[in-house]
Amino acid sequence: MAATLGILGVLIALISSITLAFQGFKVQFASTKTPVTRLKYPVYGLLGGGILAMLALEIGLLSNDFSLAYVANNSTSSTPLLYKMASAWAALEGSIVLWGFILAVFVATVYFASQRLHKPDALGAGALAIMGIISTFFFGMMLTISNPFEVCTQAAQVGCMATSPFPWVHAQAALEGFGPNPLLQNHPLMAIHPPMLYIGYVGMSVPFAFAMSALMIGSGGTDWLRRTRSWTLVAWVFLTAGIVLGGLWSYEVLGWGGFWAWDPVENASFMPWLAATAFLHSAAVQSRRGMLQSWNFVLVISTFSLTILGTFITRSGIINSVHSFTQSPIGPALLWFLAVTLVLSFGLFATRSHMVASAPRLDSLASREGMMLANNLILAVFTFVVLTGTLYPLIIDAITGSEVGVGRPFFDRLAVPIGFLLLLTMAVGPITPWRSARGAVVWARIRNPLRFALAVTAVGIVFGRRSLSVVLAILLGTFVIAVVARQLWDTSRRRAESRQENLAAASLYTMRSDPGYWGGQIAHVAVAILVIGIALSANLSLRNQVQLTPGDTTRFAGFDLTYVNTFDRVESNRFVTGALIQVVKNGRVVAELQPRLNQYANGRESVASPDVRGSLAGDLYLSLRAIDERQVTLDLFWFPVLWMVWAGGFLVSVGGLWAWLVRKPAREELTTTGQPA
Amino acid sequence: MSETTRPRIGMWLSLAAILAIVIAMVVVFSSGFGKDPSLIASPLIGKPAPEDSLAYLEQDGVLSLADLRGNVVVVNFWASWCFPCRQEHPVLEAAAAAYADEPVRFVGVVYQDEPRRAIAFLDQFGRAEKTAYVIDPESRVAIDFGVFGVPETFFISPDGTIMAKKTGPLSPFEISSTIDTLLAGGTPGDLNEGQTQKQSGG
Repeated sequence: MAATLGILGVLIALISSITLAFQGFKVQFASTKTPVTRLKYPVYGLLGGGILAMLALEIGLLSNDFSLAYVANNSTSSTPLLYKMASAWAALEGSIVLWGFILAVFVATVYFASQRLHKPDALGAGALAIMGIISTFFFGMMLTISNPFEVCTQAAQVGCMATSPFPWVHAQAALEGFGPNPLLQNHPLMAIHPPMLYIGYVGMSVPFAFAMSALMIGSGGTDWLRRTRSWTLVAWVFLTAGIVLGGLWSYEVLGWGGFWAWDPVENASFMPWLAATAFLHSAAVQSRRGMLQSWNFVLVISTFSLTILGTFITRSGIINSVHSFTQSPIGPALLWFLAVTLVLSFGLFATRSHMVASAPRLDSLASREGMMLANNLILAVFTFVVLTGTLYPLIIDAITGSEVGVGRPFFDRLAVPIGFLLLLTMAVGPITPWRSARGAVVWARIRNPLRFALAVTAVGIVFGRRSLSVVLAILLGTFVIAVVARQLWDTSRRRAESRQENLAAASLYTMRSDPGYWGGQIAHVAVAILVIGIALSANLSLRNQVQLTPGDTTRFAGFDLTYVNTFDRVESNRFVTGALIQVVKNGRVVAELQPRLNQYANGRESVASPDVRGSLAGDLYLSLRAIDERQVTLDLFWFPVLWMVWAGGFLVSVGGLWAWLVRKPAREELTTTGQPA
Repeated sequence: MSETTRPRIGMWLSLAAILAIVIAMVVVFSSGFGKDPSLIASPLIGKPAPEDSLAYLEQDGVLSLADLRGNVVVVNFWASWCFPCRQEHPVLEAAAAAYADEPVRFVGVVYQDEPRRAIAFLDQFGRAEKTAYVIDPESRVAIDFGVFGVPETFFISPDGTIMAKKTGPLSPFEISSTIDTLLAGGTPGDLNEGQTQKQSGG
């Protein structure tokens, strides 16, 4: 039943997408006569079909319907509920269904927003048509090369051996499924990290669709930017959170103690994030000063293309990585989609850019827009560096036939200085006036923060370690934070004095008066915290490997670790072996940690589950490497202030969320702006 | 006249450029289909070894790989934080002792590590004979060699050509058979791939 429902959903969605594409362009060219509501049925069809396909897949998974090949190959009856649901995106075909479902939801929100305008809307109709083309591609893949609703015609003992794409053929259900990849059922984060990334990825198609529509109409201006602002922010917030959750997943599941390794799949999510971040900034310049119009088209096309490139990299199997899917026909299909997207979108831009771009000249480099330009250039260089490092092995392979890896040193050496440059623009940029900045004004705004940062750094140098990157991270990080704090304090204090309000109310008012600006400032503070956290935890970490027999105690990072005993237990989907480690600090038992090895039925190798004791001072991280009756081998890690990495990372999202949720302040209530002129 | 044609030429040029880049991209990417990307050999095999100078870990002065011409040179990248390196260390020590009287030199390059910790590692696990322990503070040499995890070991012939590469810890047999082949003037075969460790903590 799930197969029939699913195929039905995919069919409805596909037909609706094709109709949406044709009708959308028709409405766009005849928009003065035809209202957007003409697109109602295709949009409803796409939304309904997308929901139906997603539901059918989940029903199949939750009801252990092993007559569906996807369920037989990626789930078992003993898989815990959460991972059963998450199995919908744990493998290739299912992840495309989630993609299509999210796209359908975005199409519907674009339609509703367009309908609310109550006037002919050529821009919105064109954007819907573009999104119709994109969803035609994804639902088309589901019906052909990546069909998640294939039925099992020949069952193996565990899983499915032969399949048919037609739901009405005689299905032969496997008795039991094979189960998800062990790595993907080892931590609850697996259930939320991929959907968040996908919302971020798919959301970037909205500004792209509007940009394409604006190019086709040949009308420039800020209309498309203004209208896509909310979607861009939402996509960016989810993309950010998805990347941070991915780091957390890596830290908690992979047992190597790290959260970022410049792995191609990590880079695949980081590149569109960099481009989207640049876009958020340059979009602000265009709305405010009408500049960077062409550049914004380039950025939005690049961001969307990079999301497709990322999808391609993770699903083509051409790059080696921890979390890539296996090789399949989806790889070539995505490659062609990417190629066609690039040719059509940049081609359209090349032929139409003179119609949409008429930019006022930059008055002075020493201005807010000058700083934004600098930040955009740095972000573009950063994206290019990551792109080069990620693709270099492929390019070399294609040219010389030899295979080569690009390692962490390459990325670190370039990313660290670029990161520090970005911090510098983050500190000075937001307090630089628009148009032309006088040195005296800027100096007055950074003088005290700079002194504060220098003082903190001096204390750090006296009492701490003197590695250059730690010193620079603390100096620039505290500088960024202090500049924002001074700015908020200054603006709110003046208001509090003139209106006799208390300071808390005044500062809340300030932050609400210009949510775009202050959301950005929250994100800047967050990045500063993140950078300090990364620098400290990476440079001041301790690591050791010990072998212990029961009763042994070892000293590590100020803790006495005693190996109490071994334990094992059977859980619904796995066999768990672990070591109980008592952690004593200053004569007091502070924790009992249980690093484990999990053995899954369908996995040859066991998966380590590290156990972490976090505190404000840092994380004690124990990972089990080997275990037998006589002894355990443990990797011990101490990462100081690692919480700053997670706190900073999530606070970046909060900045975006602030800008989105608090937007459109009631004008009559908020008369002044918190932003310096 | 030129007022109207110039933007058109620019337009056609940019269209051509877009098309060329995209075609190149498709060619490069589709060449990767159907291969196993986890097998990574070094493109440096058969090429002259990089000749950067490396500062000694525990004494003054620098070492250049060019100074070791005439010897079979085994360049091993390691770090104190690398667990497979601990497993490999006694193997390297034994090999250095076994080839002490032959024209074979060992170079241990400390990869992304602090000298203090590397020295503590050697204090704990011992120093091999006739082995130069050197540091690579900015990872310049590691980048030249294309190192992406430790341990990785390169075998260089007496004329300074990189002849073989091993990713992951060496076994006693792999190290002796490779050195023997090189001493006899032969070309060593492929070495098996092993597990390396990327640096953690950031």
